[in-house]
Amino acid sequence: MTIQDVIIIGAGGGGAIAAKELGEMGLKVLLVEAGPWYGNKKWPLPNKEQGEKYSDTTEDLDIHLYRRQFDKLEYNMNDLNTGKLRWGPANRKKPPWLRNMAHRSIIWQNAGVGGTTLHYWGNCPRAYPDSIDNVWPVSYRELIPYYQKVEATLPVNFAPITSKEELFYYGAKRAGWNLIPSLDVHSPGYRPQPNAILPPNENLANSNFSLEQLSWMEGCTICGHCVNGCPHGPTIEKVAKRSTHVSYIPLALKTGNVSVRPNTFTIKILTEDHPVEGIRAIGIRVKDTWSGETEELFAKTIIMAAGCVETPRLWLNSKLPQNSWVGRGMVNHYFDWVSGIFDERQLMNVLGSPETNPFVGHNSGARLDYPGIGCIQVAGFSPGLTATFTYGFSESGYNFFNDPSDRWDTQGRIVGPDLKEAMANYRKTLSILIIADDEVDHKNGITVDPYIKDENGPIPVVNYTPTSKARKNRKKLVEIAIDILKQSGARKIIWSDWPATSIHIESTMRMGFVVDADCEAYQVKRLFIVDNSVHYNGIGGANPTLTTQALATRTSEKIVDKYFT
Amino acid sequence: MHSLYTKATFQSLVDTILPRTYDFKKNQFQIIPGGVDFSIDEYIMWNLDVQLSPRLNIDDSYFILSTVTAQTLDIASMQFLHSNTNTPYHNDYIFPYGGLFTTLSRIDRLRVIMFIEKLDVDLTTLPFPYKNNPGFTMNLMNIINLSTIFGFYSEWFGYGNSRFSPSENSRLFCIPPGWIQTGYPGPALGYRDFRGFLLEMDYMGGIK
Repeated sequence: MTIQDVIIIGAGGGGAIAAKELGEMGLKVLLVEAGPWYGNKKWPLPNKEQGEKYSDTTEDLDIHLYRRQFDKLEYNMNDLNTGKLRWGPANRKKPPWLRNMAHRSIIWQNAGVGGTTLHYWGNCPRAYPDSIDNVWPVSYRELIPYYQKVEATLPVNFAPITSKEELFYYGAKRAGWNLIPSLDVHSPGYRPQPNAILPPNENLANSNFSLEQLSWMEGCTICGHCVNGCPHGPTIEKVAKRSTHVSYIPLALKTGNVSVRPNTFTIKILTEDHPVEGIRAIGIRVKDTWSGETEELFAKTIIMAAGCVETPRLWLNSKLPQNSWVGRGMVNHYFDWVSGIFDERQLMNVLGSPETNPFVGHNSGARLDYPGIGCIQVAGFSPGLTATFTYGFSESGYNFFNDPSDRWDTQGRIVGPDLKEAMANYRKTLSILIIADDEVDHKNGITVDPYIKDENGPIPVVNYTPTSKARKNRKKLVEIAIDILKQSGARKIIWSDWPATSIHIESTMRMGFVVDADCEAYQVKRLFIVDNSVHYNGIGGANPTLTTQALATRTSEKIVDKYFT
Repeated sequence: MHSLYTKATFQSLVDTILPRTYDFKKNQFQIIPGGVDFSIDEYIMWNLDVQLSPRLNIDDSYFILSTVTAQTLDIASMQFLHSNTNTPYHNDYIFPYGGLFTTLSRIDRLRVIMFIEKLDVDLTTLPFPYKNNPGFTMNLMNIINLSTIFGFYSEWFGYGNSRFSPSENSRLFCIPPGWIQTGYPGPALGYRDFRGFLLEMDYMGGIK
């Protein structure tokens, strides 16, 4: 039996970062992941056959294989039940893993090497400094070098302008907002998204290069498939959207110290009561998602990076010491969605072209930040996801039954002939995602179901009710988005009025309550956490991934300092 | 294989959300197909019975989720009619073998779904797993709405006979109806609509 230096549970937005950092510092790391690994020759049919057990070299990565697997079709890739990018086992003949939701909601996460960064839009703003300083146990200044390191490694770039960004900037300027040319945002304003997406190839506008040629070259082709799983680039390591399976995982493998094992669900943290250290983590019990076989793996240090739902579930199912904040205090940015439909003439005036074409460009290339309130961002993609988000999902029922308003034309789900007419205008629509700063509330969070189990144990129960501050912040952001759409010349405003949606989940294992400032569990030594769950709060409403990655970089240093020097 | 009753109920649901419509523009009469024309009812039933239901088994209780969902819509329709006595309904067979829900007008079917979503329905009268389960009940109403819309506007129908068995190499056999009705050109290698940058980064925390 080999005892690793470190076992990391989850190869997503946080775990992959720790694997690379620890591997570079010379530690032997085993990274276990519940879902499949796409683009790896050891799993040529990752959804159909079990394949091998481990991969530990970039020699196994194959862009041609990857490109066949990531076909950019939204049902095939994104369907919540059967899509390749779903929360479920690799075998698509098996159903997805269920979460019991106490309220109407959607949880949108991926299992797989890359985790939820497989489908994320690459948005990488830093936290708003005022949400960190004098609030978190660490200061914003302390985080800056780690932000810089992640931004350079991914790398992060400001998004290019396509039609939908240009229309958004036009409206934001007319609405009186200023450009904020900064990564450290202290005051409101608009700016391009800092995205983990390579800049467009310099020949993108050169018709001597075909789009087929460009898609095999380095650089974004603004094809609009970020959410469907970006497949474009000359090698896996140079794929345009910098999900962790194409950025940090290859770097981790290159250290020669990291081995990755997909299709492996961790069902228990193993501990011992050490005479000096007290209760400490010594290993994990895992279950193979194909064979169902269980196995115990041991290491000197364990890192949980299973995400804000599964990390507390694993703690609770492992019967680790009771802590009233495990799973509690969840925030999710209480998302909402506002869209505008435009006339061709107005679009010609502003853009010089008759359509917004929401399927072109980064899925989100422009944003408006409002520290203390949250942010809003342009959003556009393929029609199934657009129709679902814009017209299919609401807290206020069907639009027929809601009172008219002078601020918007419709509120709530749109169905029937109106839906078909609205979607006939899909190519003249601009949508804006609302991301509100919501408060930590102990009542919100993750528990485990006393009755329903899956093959991995009692399933998680997710409970979230927005606080009055969250509602107030969201309302203000909706007003700002409506104003920008009107200033852009939208002829029809659609307010979807979403129920609370769990896409940006954070702070279910909070720093200062469950883990200390170094992200080690107070009650279980040698057990660290490097996912969004350690966030003290919702970082002011900024997208959380970059902050988790900066923290994971910092935590890796702390682990080496404490246990390996 | 679903019963005719269950199929009729889901067809009436899909017909409410994405009906067949008619276009009279340019002196031409054109039928614009709806969700039932493209088997979206089967997509929803498949999601409920094959994807969701196996995860809900408690104590080996046996149920077909699509069927108990249809029953839930009917029970809610009956309670809705009791509290809204002037609601018209019809007795002709638009959806043969369907229950009370299918006899309501489209807008009243929507009212019934909202009646359930708002938990105005008596949860004690519903079949398992809806019975006394408000979170599940609200989420299932959500799922049937979302599934209808995503099934129709994504490429699902285009997979032909393989649409119920996603595989490594699924191929599209036709242009999906959602693409035709929205003008979506399908997956792309890239676009040329690059309009420059507003800001650029220098990786040292600075801005160009």
